[in-house]
Amino acid sequence: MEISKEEFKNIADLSALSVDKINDNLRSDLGKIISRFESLKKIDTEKIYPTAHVTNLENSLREDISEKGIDTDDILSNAPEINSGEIKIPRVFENE
Amino acid sequence: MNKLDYLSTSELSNLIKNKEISSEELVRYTLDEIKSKDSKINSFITINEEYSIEQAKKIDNKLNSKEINHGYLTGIPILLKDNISTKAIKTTAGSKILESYIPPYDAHVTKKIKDNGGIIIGKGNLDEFAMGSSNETSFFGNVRNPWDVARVPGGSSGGPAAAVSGGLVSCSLGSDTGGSIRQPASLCGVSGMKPTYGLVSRYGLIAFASSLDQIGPIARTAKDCGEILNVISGKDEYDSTSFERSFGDFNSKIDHEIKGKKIGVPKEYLNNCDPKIKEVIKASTKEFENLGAEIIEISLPLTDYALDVYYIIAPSEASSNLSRFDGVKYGHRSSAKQNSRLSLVESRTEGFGDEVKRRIMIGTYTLSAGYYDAYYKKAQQIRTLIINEFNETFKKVDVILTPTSPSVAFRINEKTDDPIKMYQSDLCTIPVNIAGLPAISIPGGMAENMPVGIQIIGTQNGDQTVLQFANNYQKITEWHKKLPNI
Repeated sequence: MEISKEEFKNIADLSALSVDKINDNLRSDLGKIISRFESLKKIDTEKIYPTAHVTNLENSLREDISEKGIDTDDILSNAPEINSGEIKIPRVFENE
Repeated sequence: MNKLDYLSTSELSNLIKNKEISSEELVRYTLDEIKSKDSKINSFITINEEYSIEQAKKIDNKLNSKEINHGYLTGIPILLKDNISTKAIKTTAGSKILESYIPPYDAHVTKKIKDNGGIIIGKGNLDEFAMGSSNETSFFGNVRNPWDVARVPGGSSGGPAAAVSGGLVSCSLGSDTGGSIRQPASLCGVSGMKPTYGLVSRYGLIAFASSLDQIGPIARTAKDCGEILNVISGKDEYDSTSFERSFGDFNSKIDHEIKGKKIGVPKEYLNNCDPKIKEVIKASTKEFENLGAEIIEISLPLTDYALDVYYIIAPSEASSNLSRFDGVKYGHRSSAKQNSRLSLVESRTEGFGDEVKRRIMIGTYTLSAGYYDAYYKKAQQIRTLIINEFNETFKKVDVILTPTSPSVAFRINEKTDDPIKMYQSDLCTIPVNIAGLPAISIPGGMAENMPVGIQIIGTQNGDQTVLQFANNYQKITEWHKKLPNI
């Protein structure tokens, strides 16, 4: 299966990756890998329940008691850029 | 001091318990071993030199003053795969995007090890985000196999497996999503176990595929794996998929004989293997027969579909899990700053390697509008059928015996250009994760002067039985005692 350049760009956009800087081999690899999945169509899965996880646990909840979390300073220490106790990011809206 | 490097964790634990060595002596010895050997195999990303010596001194003092009781890992150096969070110690997941990330908290298993007195001597090299079967996708360079440095150690827990194999440490923790503990254990000639899904908390494990990921031990013997699982397992309120084991000690059945027990050998696992690997399995069945077990040929027809099911489910979950890496809160941020979206996209594009990008894109595709039912849901339905197939099989046999890897360790760069060939390295280990079962890889023979692992798979929560079979095998064989010349 061939993944077209447009489709590849769309997948990259959805993945928040820049298509211009991705090795183009990835496009043919992706096509080859996805082609393999066609074989699964041979298996009849009518009325088969999909398994999302294997533990059979239900409603695994803890007591609703507040606990001390991680200190703000410790969390901020990993942020690329901070400004008076807040994480600074490039602007979200353009043309302002 | 006697040579300590190839002693098992249990042997070292006894030496410390009986005060024949101090933790500080052991830690200093281990650091020397790492310094002299790791330049050849690159199994460590971080070596915690000062921290470990300091901890060892504290442990020795506390043991001497009887402030703490001796536990299995007390004073023992242990290597943690670098996707397991360690407070104040860099945790990179083998990726540029987390190159300088220092977690503000400990993973559940890290805390358990510290509480038991274990000393985190360093952080082990791995494939980037645990995505790989050869440890060649690590941002920090590939790990080399101690048996032959021109070959891969397997992956993704290549560092943790190679470090135990080379005698740098006696034990380590890895994580296993599709074989990432067992396959490198096999290729490096050590014992590695993936427990039943849910027995060990994933809190603080940098997530790859949450419904498949499980932390487990790599050590010199099955018995040591069981002891380490006793330390790290248990219900954790921070992982809602974790639960308390229904059985007692992992090792309480380990010395029971296996006479009259049934071992199933599925033909599908052998079909895809190198003939030399088949020979090893054949020889190991003879050993099990000598132990009184009965060998039954079985068939698990859905095995042939497991790889494709895995390469839908794992990348789908990964594409979702890895969306948290955005260059905002922590991790690599691009210098492109025109706007927030560009910063996000550039940070990820610069921060992730090719294999991680490939898997994010596979997962994004299989989860995207119009394809969800055809791929992700279909894969989850076949997952149910694979589980049913195992359940039916375990009505007839106590454990299943297979090769761990279809070949011995391959050469560095041999498979890097062909992702599908690389993915096939995990053919024998993937079905176990899909079904959430426990399985161990232990050394079972040699081919091309390289170790060959055999895999013992048990039923859900049958971890004790898996360890029992492995230990019985290790009592009458010497494969796990063979050492590389490094």
